[in-house]
Amino acid sequence: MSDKPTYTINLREVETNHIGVSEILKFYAFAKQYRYTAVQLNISPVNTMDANLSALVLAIAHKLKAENKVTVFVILADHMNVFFRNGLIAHLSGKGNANPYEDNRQSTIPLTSFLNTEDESFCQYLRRDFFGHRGLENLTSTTKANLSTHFEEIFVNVVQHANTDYPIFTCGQYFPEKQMLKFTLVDLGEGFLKKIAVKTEGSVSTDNEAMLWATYNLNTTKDVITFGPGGTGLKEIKKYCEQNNGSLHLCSGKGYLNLLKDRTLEQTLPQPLHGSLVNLIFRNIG
Amino acid sequence: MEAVKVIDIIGSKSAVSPRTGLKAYDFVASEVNQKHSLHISFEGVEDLTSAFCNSFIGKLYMNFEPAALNSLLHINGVDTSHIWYKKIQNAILLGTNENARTLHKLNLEDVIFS
Repeated sequence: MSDKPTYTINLREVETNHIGVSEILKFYAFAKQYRYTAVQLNISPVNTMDANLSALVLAIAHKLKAENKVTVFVILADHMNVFFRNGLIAHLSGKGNANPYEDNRQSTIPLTSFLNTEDESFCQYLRRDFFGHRGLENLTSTTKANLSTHFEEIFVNVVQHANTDYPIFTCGQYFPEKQMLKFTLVDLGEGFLKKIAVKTEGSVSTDNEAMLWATYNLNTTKDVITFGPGGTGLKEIKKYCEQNNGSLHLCSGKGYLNLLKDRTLEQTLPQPLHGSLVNLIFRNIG
Repeated sequence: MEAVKVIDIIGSKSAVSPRTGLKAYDFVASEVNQKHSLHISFEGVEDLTSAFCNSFIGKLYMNFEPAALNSLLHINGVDTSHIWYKKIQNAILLGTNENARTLHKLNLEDVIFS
């Protein structure tokens, strides 16, 4: 290991939950103190890391590069070839979305960055890489079409409201032995709270309250008039997860929500995400 | 009368972003201003969002008298049971509802594009 500043993840497993996300955000808090240098994220001690969280790692790396002129390197254990196959190493090497490493296990949905203007590319990615993945082949075409449109709504909403020129980052991972697929989407925008606090004239004042507001409003005619149409993507995906034993997690600022069918688990993170993150877990998809 | 396809107006099968919605709006608004009747078809569209519908159809219903618009503009190519039909109807609702501006205390353009 070189003498570059290094943050080592000491968890045994880095999973798609508030603990996994927190750990990666701690890396950002560590790295942002540096300028004009390289830093290392050492995940080699970890037994397993959900590779879809590469979307958050890349988002952080992108932000560090742009704002601090800091280049991020990742130290991997020998068994962690998934980060080559999903495109994280290619991205961190400056190759962008062009990943030279083949995914011969067909378990990844490629780590991809999208500019605000690349909505058409995002739609093609959904069609080809996400809903075309072997892990979701048992979904009906109607379900795929409906979910696809909900994701497109999320993308457009992020572009309209995040108020940032930073790209949007997405990545997925299929776990065939668990019949599970996990997907992560990250933006580096304003987050939920700022605009929703204004829209509610201050009655919503925390990150978690803002995310709850965004997902719990009913989609009645009155609410279309009151709250405006569009922005239905998260609500509809939440509904799908409730009906199909899936999970929807939202993260923005220091807030993290796990939206379950009958309740919502709220966490306050030790370090904030400067943007927003959606974690989606599909279960029983075999 | 032969229908004009949305995909031909916007040059894409993805009717997703507000800016492509505005492209469709500009085309139809020009025809409506000349009192031309036209049929707009969503046949061939592969992706459709509320943002597109708002900036296209919602804006038409905001800027033109709904009754006059209904007599000139005919939309087809979307099954009423399809999720997209609801998006189109919501856009019409928002565009025609004068209370939207009052309730939001915002510029209606901001509401349409929210």
